[in-house]
Amino acid sequence: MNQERFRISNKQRKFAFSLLGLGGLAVAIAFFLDPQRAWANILLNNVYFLFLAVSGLVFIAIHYLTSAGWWVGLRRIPEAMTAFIPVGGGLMLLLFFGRHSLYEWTDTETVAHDAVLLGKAAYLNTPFFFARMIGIIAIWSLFAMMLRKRSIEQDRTGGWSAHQNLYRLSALFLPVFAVTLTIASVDWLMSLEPHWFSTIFTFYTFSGLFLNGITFITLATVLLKQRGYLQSFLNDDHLHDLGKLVFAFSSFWAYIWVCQYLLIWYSNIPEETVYYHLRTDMNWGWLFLLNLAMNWAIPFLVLLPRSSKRNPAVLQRVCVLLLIGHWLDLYIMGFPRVASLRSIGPLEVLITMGYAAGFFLITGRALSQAPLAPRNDPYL
Amino acid sequence: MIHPPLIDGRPTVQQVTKDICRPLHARPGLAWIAAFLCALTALLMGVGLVTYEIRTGIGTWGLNKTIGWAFDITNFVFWVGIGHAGTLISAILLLFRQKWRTSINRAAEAMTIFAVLCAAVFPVIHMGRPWLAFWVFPYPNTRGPLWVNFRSPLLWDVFAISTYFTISLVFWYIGMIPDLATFRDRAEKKWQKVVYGFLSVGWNGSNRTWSRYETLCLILAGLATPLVVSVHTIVSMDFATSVIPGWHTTIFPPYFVVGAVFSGFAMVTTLLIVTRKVMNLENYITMRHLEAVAKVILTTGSIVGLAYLTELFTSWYSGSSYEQFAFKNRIIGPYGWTYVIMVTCNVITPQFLWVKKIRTNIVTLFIISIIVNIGMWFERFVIIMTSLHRDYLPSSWAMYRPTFVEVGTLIGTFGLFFTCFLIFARVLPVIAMWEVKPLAAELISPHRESSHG
Repeated sequence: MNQERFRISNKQRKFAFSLLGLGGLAVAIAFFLDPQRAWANILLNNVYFLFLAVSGLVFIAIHYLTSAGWWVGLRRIPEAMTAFIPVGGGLMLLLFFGRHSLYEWTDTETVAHDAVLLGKAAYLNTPFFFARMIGIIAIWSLFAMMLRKRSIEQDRTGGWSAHQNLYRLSALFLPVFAVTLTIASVDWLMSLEPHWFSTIFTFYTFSGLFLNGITFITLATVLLKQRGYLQSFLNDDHLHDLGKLVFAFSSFWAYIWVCQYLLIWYSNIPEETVYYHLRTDMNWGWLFLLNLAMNWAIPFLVLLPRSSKRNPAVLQRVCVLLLIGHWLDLYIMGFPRVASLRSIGPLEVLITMGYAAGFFLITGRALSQAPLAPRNDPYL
Repeated sequence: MIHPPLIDGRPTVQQVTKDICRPLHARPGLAWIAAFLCALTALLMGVGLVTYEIRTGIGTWGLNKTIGWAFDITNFVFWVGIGHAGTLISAILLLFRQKWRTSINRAAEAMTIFAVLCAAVFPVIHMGRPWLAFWVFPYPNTRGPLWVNFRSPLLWDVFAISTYFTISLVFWYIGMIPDLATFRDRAEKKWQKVVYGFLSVGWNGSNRTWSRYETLCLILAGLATPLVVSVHTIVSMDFATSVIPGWHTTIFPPYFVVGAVFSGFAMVTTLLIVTRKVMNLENYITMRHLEAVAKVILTTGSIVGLAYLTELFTSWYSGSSYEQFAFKNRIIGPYGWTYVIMVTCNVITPQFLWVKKIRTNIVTLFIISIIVNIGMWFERFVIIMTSLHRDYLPSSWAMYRPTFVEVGTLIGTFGLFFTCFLIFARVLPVIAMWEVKPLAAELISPHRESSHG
């Protein structure tokens, strides 16, 4: 069985839509119970899925730029992920209505009585914040659209010049991405605690974002192969390569995590330790450790042997663990300051499931719109 | 073409051996002798100055009560940084199956080892009593309960750098064994046969030997990869674990690592451009290698630029007046000119490499690599010096100026570096023959593809 095109079955579609409905219902209930918690959930999932979508773009750009050949067979997967960028971006803009629940600095009264916040007001103010957000989303959407369009054109026209175009576009995207991601991480995540600062923060969000992207692509590859897609394009060596990437970037994430934690712990400057003080107290401490276990310790030990990187069943489980782990990582970054109490309950789960279903429907649709394996790529 | 051949001139496998074993039979050329004499002179001058400094004391340096670290630690970080390219090329690029590493890995690894040696000179002489340098190692001793301070990043440095040096040396040597065996087999003089025979540890080239050998290389690469990252991470922590504005910033570890790769590749470019010319290796170290290296320089240079911007922005964003002052002083203070040099050399200059014509031109590439070398030296000077010279107490603000002893010691380490490198180029295989030969064979019969790793 070797199917040309991906198709969402009716059963899957129904299931996804019901999850989407449940998620919507959960959001409504959350607003009814605790609007602040609802907004925190929306921010968390917006960032999670928008970053996941953008990671596809980064994955594509890096592979074009390094003239990689091994990945061509699975290129449609990251391409499909990028289809979510405009939707995720639109959802981000909703934060305008929840800004007072999330961002302390949007309250002019508070800022007026706080010397530190007053000093940052030139950067952290509502109009500028949302102008930056719109700019970032527009840039990411534009690149996603252009890359996708050219890639599908290449199926028809083929040839070297189409490839060169994609190569140039990738070269342009990466520096733009570096700057926009820096702004996005400072704005959307770091400014949740506007007194706190850490220069490594962008590297930290990037390490999580890229790891999550590779993990998702690996999981998607395993699942597609299980269902009989891409059989002639992807073999165990591809899985092995993906497994190695997951292994490497999980370790990279851990490295950046240690750098930030160790330096702040060691210097013990009150302005900085406040961040970890909150996250390692009685309420959050065990999640803090769980985060390290899920995102690094377990994947590291499991993926160390060669055989497990070539085993789809093992890869699949590790990927699911990591995808949840990254959610937890963002939860620990975002929630402690916004929602005063630790709260991972049915609401959080249902809202996230709703987002996941939406992500599945949109990427699945994008995946079904083009042949699953690219044609006429010079590297095929 | 999708993958243009990495080596030029379609040499036969035999030709590869002949070209790379040439120094074994030929006398050194005039250029080599001249270069060697220059390097040796610099080295001897360095030895003389260090001897003078040790006999007289650290007072021969320009340090004062405010600025306790300046020229020597700058040189230390500079040389350790240069040492990063070699193991990155041989270990990380091996794991990424990048074939363009094959012609340049040997020389780059040699460079790593010599650079780490040069780096080690500085902390050792800074101790003041270098004959007691072994006190940095933790061992049961008769000095009472006096142990090394395990909490100090300076001690972590001792471990990180000595481990790195050891593994790099082992990796370099192991990688050379098949080529040393070739040297042994082609040696004509008695002493050559004895020395290369000893060094090649009875290599017989059998299938089983090769199979084990390649496994060993992969394992070593896996072990060396985290080491490459760890060394400059720890070096950065010498500064970042402090509470000094300009030193304490969380971005330091990855930013130092990237900066180290940046400076290391710049030095690789400088050296390779000279080596290929002087030793007639233009067919093996080709434009494709240099272009790939140039792209690494462009990438890492841009990341370093992003880190500068992040630091600058965060110092403002932090709202901490100390942070803000540290950076203001760095840029418009009395040492502002060093900041200008740093940004011009490290961020602006590499951007020219976006242009294909510039990055595939030997002359421009050579110039840019020199500029980056200079810029990266200044980066360390800026970080170390400008953060120190105006501290919390304005009454203790001070200026610093290197003495001739310090400048001479730096030149002396360049002498050490080039003396070692020139000897290496004469007596050991500069290019990994056994790794280049498959590429040459592929050019002759293209259906031979190497297997998947």
